[in-house]
Amino acid sequence: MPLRELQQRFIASLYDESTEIEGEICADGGIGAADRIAIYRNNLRAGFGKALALEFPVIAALCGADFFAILAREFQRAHPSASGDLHHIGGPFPPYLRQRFGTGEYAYFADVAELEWAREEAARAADAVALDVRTIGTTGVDAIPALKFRLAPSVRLVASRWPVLTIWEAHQGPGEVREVDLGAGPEQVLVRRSPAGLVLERITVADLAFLATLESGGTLGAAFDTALVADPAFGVAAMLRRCVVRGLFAAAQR
Amino acid sequence: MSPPAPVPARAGIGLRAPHHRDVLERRPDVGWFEAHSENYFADGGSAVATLLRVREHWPVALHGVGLALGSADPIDREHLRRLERLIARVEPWAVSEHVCWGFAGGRHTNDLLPMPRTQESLRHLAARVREWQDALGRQVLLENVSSYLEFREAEFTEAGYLAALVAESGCALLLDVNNVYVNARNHGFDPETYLDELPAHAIREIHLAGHEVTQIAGCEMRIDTHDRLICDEVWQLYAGARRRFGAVPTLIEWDAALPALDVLVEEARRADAIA
Repeated sequence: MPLRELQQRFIASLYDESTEIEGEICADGGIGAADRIAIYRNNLRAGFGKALALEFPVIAALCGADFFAILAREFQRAHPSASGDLHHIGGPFPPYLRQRFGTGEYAYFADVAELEWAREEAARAADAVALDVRTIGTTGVDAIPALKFRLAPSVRLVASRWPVLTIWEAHQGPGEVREVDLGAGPEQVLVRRSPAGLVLERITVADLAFLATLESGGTLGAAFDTALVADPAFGVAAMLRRCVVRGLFAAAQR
Repeated sequence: MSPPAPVPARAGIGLRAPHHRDVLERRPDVGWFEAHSENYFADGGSAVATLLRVREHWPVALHGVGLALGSADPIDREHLRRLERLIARVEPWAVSEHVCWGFAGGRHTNDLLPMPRTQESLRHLAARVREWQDALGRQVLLENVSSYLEFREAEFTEAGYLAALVAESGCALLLDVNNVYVNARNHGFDPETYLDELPAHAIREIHLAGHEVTQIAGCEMRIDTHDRLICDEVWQLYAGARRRFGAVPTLIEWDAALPALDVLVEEARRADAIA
């Protein structure tokens, strides 16, 4: 059998779509072809499930081992690994959960998964030199509203109707998982890297509006305007200071 | 094509994320480290930074697990690019991959699937290896994998297939002694004869690891788990490999149920003690 066809049939067999490959496999020593293929099928499922649980440990904990295994298998059928680098499998997981659980009891899973994926992306994003604050100082007052800031590649913003960060925090550290009131209201989270590791920070709706505008390429003036809509008392100078101190800006341009 | 830079003919250990801090703080007395290339594919962040710091103190080998060169479908260009960039940054003493395939029709198994040992697959794999070596401008090492099945259509023995791959592509070999032993038990051949059949000049690195013995349909099956100490039979086979191939840099591989760093260092010491 040509190599390509043999490989296609083998993969189809791993996904339970066909058993045509069995005749191509030696079944000596008492173990049949189906049992031998099953070892690879189990490896495929277990390897994928384990990698997914490493990327989404809170979702795995919320589901429990048995349900997470079922969920991982369903997800793998819909979104098989498309790369030789297993780290990529998690990208489609948050939208998959959103579609899978809709507006039901577990609707918040998608948002928790989004936060976990934001952490993964932040951890692996490119390194960047933080903006030197003096570059703002050299800008004329009239030109300041037109400034644009590029957020550091590792910065991620997550907004949810649910207290996603509180849920995430309840699963950190040793000991019992703390009870979380799902009705406690929305949370906005800034994910960033610091020299000590990843940092997850609660931010206000106005902070989020400000950063999201800059992230999408808006000017400082536009970011300030959107923040003011959310909070008429929004202080742009204090916010800029926080951004620079935390290294959220990678570069500035007019 | 230039051969890999020299490395002490001593045992090294696999670099795994839970040991990163320990390795840098304690500087264990091992000859070198091997890193799984794909674990350092990130654009930035702490993992790559750690690997570069390790590289300041020890020779490093980059061991790929995701290229799946034997797949009939085209190789992922982005994967190759990331690997090339990592090789340029790390300057490893060896770059290795596996004699395996792993994907078809856009679906990746992220596993090391055994090749059907045919002339057709050999030509395909050898062409891929040549192309990759030409792109990198260096010789690469290809490793024999453990397997739980064999395809009926086989024009080579496993060792004969490796020898033919070396002859056709000009690659070197990474001999996994544990995988030889696992396959010998799973498929019923003599592991010493297998070693005799290999081209001795091509063997540049050896892997050692622990494996699990399980029962399937009432029969024994050895599963390559990398989650425990190396068994006595594999140590014996390793001694046979050292007699044949000399003091080849040897790596202790441990991927699951990772123990304290000291356990790996002790296994490396044991490998060094075998002459």
